Amino acid sequence: MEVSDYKALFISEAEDILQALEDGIMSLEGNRNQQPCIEELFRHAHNLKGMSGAMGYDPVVEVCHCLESVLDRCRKGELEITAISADILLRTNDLLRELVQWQISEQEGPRGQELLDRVLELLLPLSELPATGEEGKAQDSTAPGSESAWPANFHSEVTSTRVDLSRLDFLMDLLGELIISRIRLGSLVSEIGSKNLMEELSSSSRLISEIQKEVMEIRLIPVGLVFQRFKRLVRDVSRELGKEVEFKIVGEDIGLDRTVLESMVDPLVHLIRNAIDHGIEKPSARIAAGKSSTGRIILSAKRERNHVALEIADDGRGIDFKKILAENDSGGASGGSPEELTEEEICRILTKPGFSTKEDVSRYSGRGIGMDIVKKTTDSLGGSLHIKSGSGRGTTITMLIPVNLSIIKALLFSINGGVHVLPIEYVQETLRFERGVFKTIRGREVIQTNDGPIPVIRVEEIFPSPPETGKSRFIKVIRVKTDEGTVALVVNRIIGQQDVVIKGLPSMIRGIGGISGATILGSGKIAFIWDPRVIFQGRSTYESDEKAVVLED
Amino acid sequence: MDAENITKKDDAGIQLVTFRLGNEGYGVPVDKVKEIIRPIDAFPIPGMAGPVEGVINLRGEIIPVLRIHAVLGVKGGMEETNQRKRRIIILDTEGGGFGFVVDEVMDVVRVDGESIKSSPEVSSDHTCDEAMIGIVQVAGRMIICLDPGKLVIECIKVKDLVGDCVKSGM
Amino acid sequence: MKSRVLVVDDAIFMRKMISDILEGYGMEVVGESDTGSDAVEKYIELKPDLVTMDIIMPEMNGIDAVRGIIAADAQARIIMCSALGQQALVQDALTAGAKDFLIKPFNPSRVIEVVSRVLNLASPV
Repeated sequence: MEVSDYKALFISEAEDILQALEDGIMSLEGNRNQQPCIEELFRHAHNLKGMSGAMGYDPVVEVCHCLESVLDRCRKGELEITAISADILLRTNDLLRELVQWQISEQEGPRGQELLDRVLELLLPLSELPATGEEGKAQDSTAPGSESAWPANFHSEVTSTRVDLSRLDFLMDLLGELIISRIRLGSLVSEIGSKNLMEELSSSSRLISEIQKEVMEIRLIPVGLVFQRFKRLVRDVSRELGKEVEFKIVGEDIGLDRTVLESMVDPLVHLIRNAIDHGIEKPSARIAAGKSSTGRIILSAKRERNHVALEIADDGRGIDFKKILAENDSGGASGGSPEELTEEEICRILTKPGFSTKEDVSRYSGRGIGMDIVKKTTDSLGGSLHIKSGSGRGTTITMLIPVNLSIIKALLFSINGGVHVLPIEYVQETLRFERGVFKTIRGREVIQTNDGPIPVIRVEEIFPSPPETGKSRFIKVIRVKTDEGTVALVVNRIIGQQDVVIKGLPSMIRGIGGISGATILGSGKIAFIWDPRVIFQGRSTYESDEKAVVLED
Repeated sequence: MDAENITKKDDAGIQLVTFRLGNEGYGVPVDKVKEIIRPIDAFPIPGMAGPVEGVINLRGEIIPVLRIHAVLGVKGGMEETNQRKRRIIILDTEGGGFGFVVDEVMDVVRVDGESIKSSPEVSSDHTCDEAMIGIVQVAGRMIICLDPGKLVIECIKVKDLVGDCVKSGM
Repeated sequence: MKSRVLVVDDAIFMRKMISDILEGYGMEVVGESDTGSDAVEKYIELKPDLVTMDIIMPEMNGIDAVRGIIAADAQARIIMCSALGQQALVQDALTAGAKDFLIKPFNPSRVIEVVSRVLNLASPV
């Protein structure tokens, strides 16, 4: 039997255990009935010790043993968990996590001993173990209790299998290839024009879409896996800022594609920090406002047809629209009173790059990502952002995110020989004009439509490229609509609508302005998927010329 | 990773795939080389200048291709006359796979780790000095050893300077 | 005929480890449980020849699970899996009707030795 066979299993289970330990330690504070929690913590430490022993990870065994004896003292009532000892346990857990990672990486060097020393220094004073870490202290009380105060999801189900996520990714890739090959086959078959072949192909197409649906469901992972991490964030940030916050999580079981979920982590971190920093008031201010001293933040997930609504709601001071308007008087969203601001307008102002309502830049605001990035992320996932807020009544921010995004409906078009892809939700219509119908308004080309003039954008304005040279009589235009306005995008040729499989970009070229991903076409060519917001970046459209808003960070 | 680390890896030395860029000889550790293919055209990435020439479709995987001559500051190379020996070397690193066009793949050689000397300060104005681990003499020829992982990092740095669109508000 | 085993442990890692050892020895792992209460249910449902039982588990611990299983089948053959330093608990389990015990981390030859000894116990008629 090879110990390395178990390594992958060890890694995934150790991760779960470390997370469960962290959650458990945090729930100890302020919990009147600590016993069941301590039993659970003990059990987790015990399991990690057993697994590490089997792997030959002796330093981890030693720490777990020490942790066990601390917890043993707690359950015997010899040690009380206070905020300070919870802090020590949390730091222990952090170091333990690092130690486990160090072990897994199989590195040599002094780092392991250093981590071990640091963690033992923390724990030993609490444990009453001899400082040498002698083995064999009896833990002779049994774990009682069938009634536990723990949420049900703490216990994993045995009816499921663990699959390495990279294998699911591989499956998805294969499926992508299969879909591409189906499209290619389809065009060959239609050349031949055999009815039997067509029928057979369409039945295999149906099967492929069913597999696709199934694989996508499998790829969904419960949002709780990510949500749990935020408990720690809320605890740390609220402590640092001297605020009292009760953090509630709702809808942990809701599934979301794992790539989608991963990209939501940063925006969620930002929104939660914002909620604590800008939203929740200091206890004294809350009492003065007639609220309970403890603020409340609810992070929830809800499935709505093909979307998941991720929502962060706080009962803090809400957004000060008067101040926003004052800061925006250079342009003004609508120029009216706060009551006249629509949800859309609030959203637009708040998500301008660099926007901030807080004058004093604390550690948790004014750095890292801003609301504009939250908006950008939801947009790039094909979702939308909604903000509701009332002065003194708290703020609720909702992000509607598609459950799956690996395959999207898109419009394909070509410019200068390259094929480009635009997600279909941004396409209003495709139009054809005779040359020479463009007019100019204040130096900008526009096209007259039934809804009034819309600005014309040529691709070379967006991506540096040689100007289009075609001399055909007609000009093809895609009418693109985003939250920021409508434009007419001039293209060489409109290829048509089809399903495309989104391939992630290699890290080296990730984050290019205007490109959200790529896809491989039936021909083997690579086409780039546009993030249509690029059309509006760095230039004002005819529409927004009137109300350009300039804000300082 | 510095020269010391690379040499520590294997007592018997390290194996390098050596290749020619212009008139200069370069080498990368063989275990980082995923494959070597005949040149295919890269699809240019809209709006992207800088170190990445474009992407290629390697059996369904999207692989960026670097302008390695420019990245390393190599003069000459990519001559029109002698394209027959041109290849794309695909490397696999923790920062992702990538490829670059070389003028010629020369050899796979085993070198003693200790014989890799840290490179003299020849090109100081280049961003990619970090990616050069050292220089080794192979059959009377100077081979500059590259660290593929560092190369990725350097290129991402350069890209960040170029890709300004996404930077707003960060 | 292959001996049929129910493996009870709340850590997937440990279940996998002991299952591999037992299967390597030609036994069939017919079920796995991660809680004591589930173990009792599975025992009644599967009627395995042998149970390996962890001690510290959520919902119902290993000793109560032994009691539950023995109550359902006095002849049940249960081996406790314990860590060093749990002697008192092992004693309780043996009193409750477990037949033998193993100390983690598992040593395959020791596992097989104990398992075959327990399986060869003459079942009282």
